[in-house]
Amino acid sequence: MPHPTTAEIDIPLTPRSTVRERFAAATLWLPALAISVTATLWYDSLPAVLPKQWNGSEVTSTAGTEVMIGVTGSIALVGAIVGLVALSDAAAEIRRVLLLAAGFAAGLAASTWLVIAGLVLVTGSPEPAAGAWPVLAVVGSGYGLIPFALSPRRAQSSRIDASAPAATVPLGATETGAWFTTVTVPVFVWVATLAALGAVALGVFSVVEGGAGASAVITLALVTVISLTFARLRVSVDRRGLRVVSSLLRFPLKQIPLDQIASARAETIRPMDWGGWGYRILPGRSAIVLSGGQGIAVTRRNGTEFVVTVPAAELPAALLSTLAAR
Amino acid sequence: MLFRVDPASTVSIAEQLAVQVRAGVADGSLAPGTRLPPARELASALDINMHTVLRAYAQLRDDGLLEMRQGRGASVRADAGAGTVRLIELADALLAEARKLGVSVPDVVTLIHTRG
Repeated sequence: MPHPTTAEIDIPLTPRSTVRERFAAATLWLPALAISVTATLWYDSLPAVLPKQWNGSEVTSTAGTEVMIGVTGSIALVGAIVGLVALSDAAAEIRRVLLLAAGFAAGLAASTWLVIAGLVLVTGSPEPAAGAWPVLAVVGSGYGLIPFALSPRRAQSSRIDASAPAATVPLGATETGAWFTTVTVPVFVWVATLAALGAVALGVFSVVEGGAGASAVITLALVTVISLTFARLRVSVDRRGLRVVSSLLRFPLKQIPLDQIASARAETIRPMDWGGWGYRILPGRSAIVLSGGQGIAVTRRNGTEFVVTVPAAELPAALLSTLAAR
Repeated sequence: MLFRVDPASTVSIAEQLAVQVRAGVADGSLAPGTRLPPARELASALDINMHTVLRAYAQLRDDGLLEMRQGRGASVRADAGAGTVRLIELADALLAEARKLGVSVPDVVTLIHTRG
């Protein structure tokens, strides 16, 4: 199976937007609409100043009601306009991601407005205790998933010349091969250790002080888990395809079965091309970048690309090509 | 590292694996301290029995090339290198020669002892 045929590629779509994509873009007007309708209805019953930030149950900063309507309303409006821009032919390849980002921003703006104004209206107090309501405002950013789920996945035009013959490993007809490596990133181990120590210290402080700084503890704990995830990775190539597993936390980060692989090669990876280190996602391509230098680059049959950095990538890339061609 | 096995070969699969690890240690591609994949992982990657892999690892441990630790799997011993592998090969050659001449293993051991 050296080359994907047209029939095997996911959806051979033209750059023109489909009905579903136009509907997805239309859903982006809902947050802006919700803000303008509620702002009109509630304006007379709202105080001139609304709370903006809480620390515990205490309001720490405020903003004028008009400012609040203006800011959240414009963000939601920009989201809706980005949705329109995303429908242009030129944006076809990143349309889905644009709709996700626009929905994220618009949803966050609308839910922030609704939660704050709603709290003030329901409690009748200009500085109400927020409780867990700000969480709902953040959850509102998940609105972006709606237009994202509505729009179909598009095949990407490949940036790589896949027609060049890929290197292979000569395997006998009855022979099987498997390749393993473990990549350790000491920096992540240090970051995880420091973050964990910080989390414990702040956690004790937080308990003593009655909950102050609890969000910082959660942030540090998250940093610890993420750093540990990428501190040691096991990359393998075998009859099941390419797999990247977090060796310390024992969970798979990426798995590409052989039948999805169109081609594989060794490439030189520059972290700056991917916007840094870690798990990078760009439209049509994703990567696990742990270092500069060599990596295995895989083009899937649907045209998307995945890259993982490993030392001496020629051998695993060649093995992957051999196994995928079987 | 790359492991390859051929079930159609006359050499047992455990021996095929052991040969590749020995070669890796001898040419330095498996540096001291390198961890080998867990037996379960390697077995499912190559579609072979886990006990076959464990047999190969046990043989390599007896040869002084690997150390096995509970929960940490198999790794190349700190003192393992090309010299260790060469010694194993010489011992194998000595035993093969003794077998050809009809000399028993205890006699070979005695022979070595009298010289040591």
